[in-house]
Amino acid sequence: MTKIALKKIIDSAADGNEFPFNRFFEDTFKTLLPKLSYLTKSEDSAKEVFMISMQKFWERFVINQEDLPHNSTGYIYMMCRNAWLLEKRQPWSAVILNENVTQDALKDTNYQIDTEINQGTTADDNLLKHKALSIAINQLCDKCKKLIEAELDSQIKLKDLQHDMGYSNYQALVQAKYNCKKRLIKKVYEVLINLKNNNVI
Amino acid sequence: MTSQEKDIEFIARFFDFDLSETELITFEKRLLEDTKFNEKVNTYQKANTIVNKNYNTEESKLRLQKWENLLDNNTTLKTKKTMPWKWISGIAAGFILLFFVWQKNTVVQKPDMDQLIAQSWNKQVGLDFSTTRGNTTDSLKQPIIDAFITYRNKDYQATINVLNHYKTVTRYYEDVLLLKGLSYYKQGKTDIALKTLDTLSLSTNEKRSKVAKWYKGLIYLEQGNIEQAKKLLIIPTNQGHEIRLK
Repeated sequence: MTKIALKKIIDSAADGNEFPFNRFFEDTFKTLLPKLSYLTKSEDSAKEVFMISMQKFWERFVINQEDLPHNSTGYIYMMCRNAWLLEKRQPWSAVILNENVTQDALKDTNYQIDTEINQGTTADDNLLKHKALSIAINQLCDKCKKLIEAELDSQIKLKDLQHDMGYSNYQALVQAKYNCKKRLIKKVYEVLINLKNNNVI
Repeated sequence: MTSQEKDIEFIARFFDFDLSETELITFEKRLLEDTKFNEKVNTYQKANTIVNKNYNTEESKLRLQKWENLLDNNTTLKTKKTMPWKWISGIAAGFILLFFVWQKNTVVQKPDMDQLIAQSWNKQVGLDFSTTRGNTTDSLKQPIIDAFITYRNKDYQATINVLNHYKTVTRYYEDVLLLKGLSYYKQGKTDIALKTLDTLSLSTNEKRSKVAKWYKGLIYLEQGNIEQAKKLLIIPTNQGHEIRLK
């Protein structure tokens, strides 16, 4: 697909008409399925990895309007390779449990998986996450703080915010929210590092 | 830009799925060799999860659902091959011939399965200390060496104890998974053993993945789960042949 053709699909999606994008989604999946099945050794994993990648594709190119790649199919395949590496770092998302695994085995306390990501959430862990998120939000600029906090308040409609905050159009607001979320992730990361260095975790 | 800032940018780009082929290889290599970089990635992943969990819009959830339905509704066309009748009759004649030949061979030498399984275990596949060779020893390598020794001495609980606090996604973690998996099996904890070997079978290192599949197959075979074993192993039906990995 040419860059121009893809740009039209992206613009259409940004305007609210997702049908051309859905068609692009299906066609790309059909093209990449053999390669993804070979990569992940399973059609289900191929599907999962493709969906995660397209979610990110949507965020970056439809919402954030980043420059489109020249070869969209090739680029999406590389996105899937990145996504697959991320999936592999989470052992139990990809493990296929056979019928012999019982609930008793899962409760066995001798069995420990030392992954920070997959440990069951404890009250302390939730408290820490909440703390890190609160500190990070407070460190954002006022504009980002407002956008992020609006996300959690169902009373606030983004369309109303658009006028209040002076965005020329809704797309610009959505884009700003996406960028604020990215900044928030980095802030949370920095807070977690600081908390670790100060032996809080 | 400091090296710290460069690392964060590199990691952020990974989470944006923006790394090229070469960059991805470098990233993966650093994950395996650089524990500090690994920790940074873990922390970033944690931050990413915290934010996305709290800020996943209803709109994006609905879109994902829609996409899932699109993929589920996609049916692939299967072409049916129609075999000409002369092929069918030829194959049927072949089967009849084979049947009579088999009838003539009244004595069929079936392999002693217990002996075959024991022989396969004795091969000690993947347990050759290869990753721990070399003159240098560090805090990461020493527990692995100790664990190999305790495993060889059949002290399976000691092997598990030595490896229990070994951090994931560091060097030698694949050895950890192998030794723990086998030790759990030797202790009779088959389910946990299979789960552990399952993780190893997903390794990008083809050799390690094959070793995991080998042992999974042997465990299934020893437990009498022939169906599952056959998915992983080639089990001989005649004497004089060994069990092999598929």
